[in-house]
Amino acid sequence: MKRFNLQSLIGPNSATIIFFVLSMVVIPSILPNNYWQSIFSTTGVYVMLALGLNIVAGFTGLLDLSYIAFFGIGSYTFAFLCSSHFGIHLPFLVALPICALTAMASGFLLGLTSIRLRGDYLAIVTLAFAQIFRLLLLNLDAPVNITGGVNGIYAFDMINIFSLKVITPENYSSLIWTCALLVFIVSFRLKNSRIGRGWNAIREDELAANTIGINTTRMKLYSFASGALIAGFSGAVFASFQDSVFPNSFGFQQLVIVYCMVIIGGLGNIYGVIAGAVILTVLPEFLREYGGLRMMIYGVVLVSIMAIRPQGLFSAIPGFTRFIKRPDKDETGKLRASTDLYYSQKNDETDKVKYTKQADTLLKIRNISLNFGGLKAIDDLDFDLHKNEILSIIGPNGAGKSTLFNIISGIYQSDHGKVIYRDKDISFFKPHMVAKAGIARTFQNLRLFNELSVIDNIKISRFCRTKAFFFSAILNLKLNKQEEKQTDEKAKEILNMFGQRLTGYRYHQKVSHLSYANRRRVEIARAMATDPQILLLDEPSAGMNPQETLEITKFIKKLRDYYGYTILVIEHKLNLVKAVSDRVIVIDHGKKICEGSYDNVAENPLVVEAYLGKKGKKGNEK
Amino acid sequence: MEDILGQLAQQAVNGITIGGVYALIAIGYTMVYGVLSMLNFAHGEIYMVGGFVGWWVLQIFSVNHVPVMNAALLISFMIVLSMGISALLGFLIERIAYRPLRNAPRMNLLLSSFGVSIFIQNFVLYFQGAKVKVFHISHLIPEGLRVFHIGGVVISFMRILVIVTCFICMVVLTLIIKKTNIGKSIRATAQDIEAAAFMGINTDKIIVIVFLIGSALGGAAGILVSLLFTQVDYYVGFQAGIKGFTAAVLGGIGSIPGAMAGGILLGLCEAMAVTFFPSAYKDVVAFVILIAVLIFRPQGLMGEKIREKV
Amino acid sequence: MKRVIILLLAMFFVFVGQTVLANDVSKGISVGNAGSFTGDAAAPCMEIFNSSQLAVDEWNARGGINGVQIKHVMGDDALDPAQGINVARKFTSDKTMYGVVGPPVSHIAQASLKIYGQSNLACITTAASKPELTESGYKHFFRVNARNDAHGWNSALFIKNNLKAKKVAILNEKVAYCENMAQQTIKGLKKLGITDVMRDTIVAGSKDYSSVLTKVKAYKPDVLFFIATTAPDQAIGVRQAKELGIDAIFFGTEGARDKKDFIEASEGAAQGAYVYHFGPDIYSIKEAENYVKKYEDKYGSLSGFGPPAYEAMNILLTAIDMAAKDGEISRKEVISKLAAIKDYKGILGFPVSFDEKGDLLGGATYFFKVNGKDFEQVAVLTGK
Repeated sequence: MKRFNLQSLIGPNSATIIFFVLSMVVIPSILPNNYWQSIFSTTGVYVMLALGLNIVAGFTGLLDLSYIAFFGIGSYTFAFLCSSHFGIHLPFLVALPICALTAMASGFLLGLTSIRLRGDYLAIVTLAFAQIFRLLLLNLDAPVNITGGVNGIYAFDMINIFSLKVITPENYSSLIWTCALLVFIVSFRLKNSRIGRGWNAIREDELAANTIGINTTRMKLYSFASGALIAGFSGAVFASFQDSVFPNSFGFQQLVIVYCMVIIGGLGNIYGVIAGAVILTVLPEFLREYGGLRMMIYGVVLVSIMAIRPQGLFSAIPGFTRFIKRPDKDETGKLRASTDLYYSQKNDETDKVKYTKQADTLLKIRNISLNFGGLKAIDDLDFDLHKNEILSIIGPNGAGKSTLFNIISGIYQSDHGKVIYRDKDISFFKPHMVAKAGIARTFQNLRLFNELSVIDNIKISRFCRTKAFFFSAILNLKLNKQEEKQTDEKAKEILNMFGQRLTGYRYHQKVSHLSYANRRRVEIARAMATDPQILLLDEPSAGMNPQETLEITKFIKKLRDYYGYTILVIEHKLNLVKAVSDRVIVIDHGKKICEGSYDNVAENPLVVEAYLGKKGKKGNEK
Repeated sequence: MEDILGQLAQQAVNGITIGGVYALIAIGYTMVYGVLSMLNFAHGEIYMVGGFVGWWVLQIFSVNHVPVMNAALLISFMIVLSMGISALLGFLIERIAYRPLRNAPRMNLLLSSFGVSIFIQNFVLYFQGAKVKVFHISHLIPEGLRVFHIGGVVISFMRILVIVTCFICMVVLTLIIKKTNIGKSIRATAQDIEAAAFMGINTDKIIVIVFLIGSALGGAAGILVSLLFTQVDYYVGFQAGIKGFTAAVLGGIGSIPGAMAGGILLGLCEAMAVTFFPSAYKDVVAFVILIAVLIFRPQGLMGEKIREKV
Repeated sequence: MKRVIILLLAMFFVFVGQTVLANDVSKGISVGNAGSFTGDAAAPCMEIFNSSQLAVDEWNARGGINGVQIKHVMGDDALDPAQGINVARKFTSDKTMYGVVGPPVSHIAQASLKIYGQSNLACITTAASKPELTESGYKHFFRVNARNDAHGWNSALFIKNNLKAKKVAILNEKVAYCENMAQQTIKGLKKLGITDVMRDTIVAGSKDYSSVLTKVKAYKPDVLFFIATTAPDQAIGVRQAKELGIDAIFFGTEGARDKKDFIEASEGAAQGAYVYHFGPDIYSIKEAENYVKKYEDKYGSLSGFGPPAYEAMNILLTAIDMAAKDGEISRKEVISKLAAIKDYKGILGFPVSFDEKGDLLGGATYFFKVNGKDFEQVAVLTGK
């Protein structure tokens, strides 16, 4: 277990720190001349810049093409604050945070306008912003000279940190790499915090992230702003190092280069991104003498890397990615077979019945209707869900069952009617608010975070029950430590409920490597981890074999009997419905056609008609 | 007042000409986006190559800037050959840079297209030099037909040629998309590539056709603009690409009529903007319009709204 | 994790190892050529590089300097000041480098001025004409072209006195040189009492100036001063102005004094247009015949940017040659020899000397009118 504890360590490990310290102390002293010193410093700037972009594009998966503009905002703010251009001469340590915050604020504002746009549209709008920014830099020298136009702004104040003067290239490289170390630690800690997990969830599946309680709009905005903050920070350092700023440094080409660094390193992979930044800054210097050929080589390299290693150069080189254990061995190295794990745990006390259906209502569905165009998907539906009840909803395909779930969980807004949860109207709630209120759901066609590990999928669900914010996560304050510990324990506890099918080595397996049935289980576990009162299970046994169906049937029952969840389940397999349900509701064409115990419902002629068609219809037609 | 109106009329002519060209470029973006959901940033370079091909044709078939054959024939030949070679280039790009990435994340495709763009641009720079290539067109147009005056508005022969050719290209494309089997297959593939494959459409072939058509139109745009402005160099692709792309998004990316409308609208807006703002803000105006449209109507002017299936 | 460190360190050592440089002075003489060999300004910059290369080749053919063959190193900044600084650092850290031709772009020269200055590496620019460059006190910076303030004032004089204009439209490209030139000219025009001036900008290489020219047409100026860097852009300018029926006199900048890319390329539209230049026509100078022939044979057609580069390289090598006479050489020595150059007679048609700031002494502005297929010199102004 030691190893896993180590992996969930909150900070970067010592070896990496050593690398950075080495970068700061040893490398500057062995570099042959000023030219290489400056390349070394530039590399540090690009490392920061790439790490910042990695937060936006890598962690969160946002295609932000205005990133370079925030870099520019940082640079120009520095130029305004620390030169004789406006006659303002702030000390470096004051100016630096202002630059970073200005960039962040711009990122925030820009995000507000465009963050709701999806995928490529976000890319396009941000690209347009970046172009406008550059044009403004170029043209805001008249009628009042603000940006200096094409001439840029130059000759900044000398950096003076507590009477330590930064003059020589060695000074600069130490300063820059210290900043880079800072950015590295911040991004590392963010990655392994609840915030980072939230971002990852958004990258993998935005809707699913939303339904487990992540306010995706807000988190995307945070991501955007964090990226901008780091960009602004590196921008200020860059400006001071270059001792001048020009619009041309913030153009499309530079953006492409930073993107290349991140993608070649592997999106989200911090070490890879650093390596990518180092290579792409140093390599072109060797090609400088070749002029036109240089860029041609660059293009070819880019295309071939994308074709040969689409997941980035460093995705599977040992040390650059997390070490993945052989899945067929456990902690002790013993080979294991997963088939009879479930039965090894069979007779534990969880078979006891602690909860049964109660009289008070938890969820009331009142006369809801929803139209898609002309089609009535839900038509005046009305029912109650009692506390600790298992209520099944059945009906033919297209009857509106999943639509009902979508309305309850806030993905769709109903046209009429109300959803009332514990006497509170939640019909206008967004999905993350519904989750936070205590209603969790699974999806019929599995919406897991496929590229993440099993345990991370579960941990993400703790997002809405934890509070650690940026400060706490970055500084690893007590709150964060506590919550991380609890999150880890809770996640393992929940996974353990599935009879060790998802435990041990499986914790760190990618979800996409699991069997279909196991993925269904992870999806249920993920819903459970949000601490819900009500579980909405959308066809939990779909794609399972009879043995597994039997197992999941028992498990659903146990969820209520022992753990006390209230469950609303959509299911087609009637023996499952029969085994678990306290009550069954049948809907067809969005209407409730009957309600009652399984046996009552099964005999109802309307239900038979809905499933099998009208009796004797064929005969009549003859 | 009359001055302003006269100026606006002239700007409208300027805007429609360049707008038609934007539309041709935008169609390439929009068609590729339709089938592959990717932004093909290398498209601008195809446009540039189209211009260069035209220049070489003119160079080879004229002696001391005097064409050795009938001028109309030569111009048609330039356009056709530019379209052909651009189409071939589009085909090659698809094969080499995009097909291996069919299942990769979209960001990779985007970067790959950046790579292609950088390569082609610098390839041309290396082998054709940085110097501008000049088209000597005065012998292509009969003396009396060079400029027309309609009221206070001046229209040159080349502008008419550009507008007419753009129009023909768009009509032919619309006919292909609407009336032929290939057009049907393209529309099906754009709607749902997997479903189209299940229906027996060879989607790989359709993607190739889309690249061929899009690139041919991009090449046509390249040669038309080169003839109009009489110059081409290795760097023209970038700006044209950004503009075409903006036009495509403006009209609703994925929608061919949208691309046409978006192109012309963009051209007009830019030309009109110059009348009222310093011309340096021309592009700012274009991008602000783009952002406004996307924020209030994310699917673009003519795109379809898509509801995500849960 | 250890492997990562080893990998990264190894990478660094490999990179570093390759660039251990010669410290021995007599081991070699190299000269740099800083410029934007890729990107927007690639065409004029390549002409500069090729011309310098011609000069270096000639020196090497003659046996080099003190028997040492001269190495000509390209430093591409891709029109990006940040990269320009890298180039400067690269050149200054090359211990065998004694001088640099360039940078030709004003704002990049501005960005890297300090770095070259700190290590006393002589720079001769052939095109950067922003006045501030030689006003900052550095001694290493020379130019063989006149400054914008001189040209601007002379052009204003020319517009008023020779072209008799009362209403002037000025279009300038958004680059440092053109911006500055426009400002200087407007300043001059104001001084001369011409205040009816319209000013707008153009984007280099965008090839379509019709919308801004439409605006100019509505303004009805007497003279259209079209300030762009390169000849092709001005050819388009004059062509589209004619096409739109603008009857103002077209007045172009030094870049336009190019028979092939301006007169020929505009196919008759340039007839009657004026341009200014910092030197007399290169084709009319006897001393330049050899150079022009060599250049055109090897690299194709020539615009205005090549000859000063050829001249600058020759001057630089002459200075290095003088500094190396005694077998010992230092960068400071090269700078002092450069400053001492008096009346160097090369191919530009006028003797080159530098003043104490490093500016070309007595830079005059030559004005030409397009007549048929050639330029006809109509005036030489020296600020009076």
